[in-house]
Amino acid sequence: MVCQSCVLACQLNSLGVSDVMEIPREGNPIQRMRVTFSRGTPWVWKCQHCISAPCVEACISGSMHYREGESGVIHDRETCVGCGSCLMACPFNALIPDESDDRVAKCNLCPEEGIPPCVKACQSKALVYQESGLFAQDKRKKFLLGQKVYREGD
Amino acid sequence: MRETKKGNGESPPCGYGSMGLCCSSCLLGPCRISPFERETAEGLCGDSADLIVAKNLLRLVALEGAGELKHLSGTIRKLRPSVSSRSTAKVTADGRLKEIAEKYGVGPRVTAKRFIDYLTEESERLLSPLSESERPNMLLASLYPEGPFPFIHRNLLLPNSLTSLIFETLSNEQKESIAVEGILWQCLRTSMLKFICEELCRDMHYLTSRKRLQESERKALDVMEHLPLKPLPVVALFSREEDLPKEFVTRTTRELKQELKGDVLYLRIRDINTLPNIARRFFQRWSLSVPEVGAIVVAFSQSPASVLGALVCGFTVVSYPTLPIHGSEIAEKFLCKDLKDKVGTVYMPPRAGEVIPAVLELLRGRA
Repeated sequence: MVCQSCVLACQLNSLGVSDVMEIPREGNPIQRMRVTFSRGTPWVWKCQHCISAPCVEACISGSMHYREGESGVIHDRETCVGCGSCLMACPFNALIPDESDDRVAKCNLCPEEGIPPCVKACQSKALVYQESGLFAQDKRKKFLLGQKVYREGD
Repeated sequence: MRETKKGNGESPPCGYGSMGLCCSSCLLGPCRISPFERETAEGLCGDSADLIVAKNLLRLVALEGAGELKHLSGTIRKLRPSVSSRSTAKVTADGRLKEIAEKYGVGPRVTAKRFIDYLTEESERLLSPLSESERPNMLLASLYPEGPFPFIHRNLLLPNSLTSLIFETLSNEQKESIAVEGILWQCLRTSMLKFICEELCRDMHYLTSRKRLQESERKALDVMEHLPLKPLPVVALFSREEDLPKEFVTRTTRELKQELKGDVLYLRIRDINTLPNIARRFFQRWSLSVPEVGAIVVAFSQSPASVLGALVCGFTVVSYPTLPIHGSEIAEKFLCKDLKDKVGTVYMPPRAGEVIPAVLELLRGRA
């Protein structure tokens, strides 16, 4: 079993509430991430924010783009036409069709929140929020110091 | 509360835990039910979200009850050494003896030795798991008379044996086919344990030690001594500093006191066991039970047994932090709505800032 705190935090954010006591009885949130076991290890099914992202290449409306400043692949729901090309292109199966309006939903790193709620909720520090360049630098440093480091997806 | 990121509010509390949706009944878990799938999802053992919430609450209440049970048996052991059949403890002051004896329905002419023997003997009977089928315990019958505590008597919530009650609670927790309401009633019965044990221990200590009552307790009891002739709306604030940040409790207490205008009786209590005493005083003075007075308890406590115990005594409880029952519609309806006509009810403001408005709203409703 996995703790799933990140998933709940993400769902609460998509509903626009900050506390479980405020969850409305009706309506389901968009599931932008999910956690399952893969060969005995918890695996987070969420956007990996690839630098050369296949979904960006596949997007026909230009609603999927890589934003340098945020080091992430951002999806603009306003311009999305719901063609589903990105769904097929994503090697991580991280995009989810949103049946409520026939578009696609994905992790946008919650730019309005500062640190994403899923990272805040993660107590085991399995999820971290860092510039990709910085993360790679830290990883190299730790490797040189002889410590093993894992990032989700490694 | 421990200095942790969660305790300091830097990191959010566990959503599953605060909703009661995290089940650790077996060794394969913990199973966590998503609040968005609670109608359909089940734990590995097959328990529904409602059952998981109810069993979690029962486990929390039973744990607190078991702790108090141990405390009571330790106190009796100290008062009555097993080698001697008679008590070796001495009562410190006659005034105290008279006060306590009256509470237990014992005449004022009783000697200290005989009274302590009576208290310890009856408490031992209460603790014995085999005393279940015997006559109702005299101590409890005198401590919780029907007048001030009609709900307890109407629903047969007084146990004959405290230890059997814990056994029964734990066996219910393990049962596979049990109704959610059944477990919630068991929660209410088990919450009585905390009150009974703590009150017996406190009275025994009060009789046999020179320790004085805490200043705040004394003050609360003094207010109760001088109750006006006409019933007033009552707000009692209970908090344990270790449960919530001290600064928050101090600020909210100050604000609540400022907001309570007009004829409202305000009591600050540090020991939840003062509540049955308060209920008895209401009845003595006004011949009204607590639900008839409509007294409100603001409980800043993370102890579900305290909140449910106050409810069983007839108080309406504004509880913050909330009880971990939001994951089950049945549990929430039972404690926050269904009991309203019979006894008090539990209000659970989701945010700290909503506690005082909830109390004021309740008072307006009473008026």
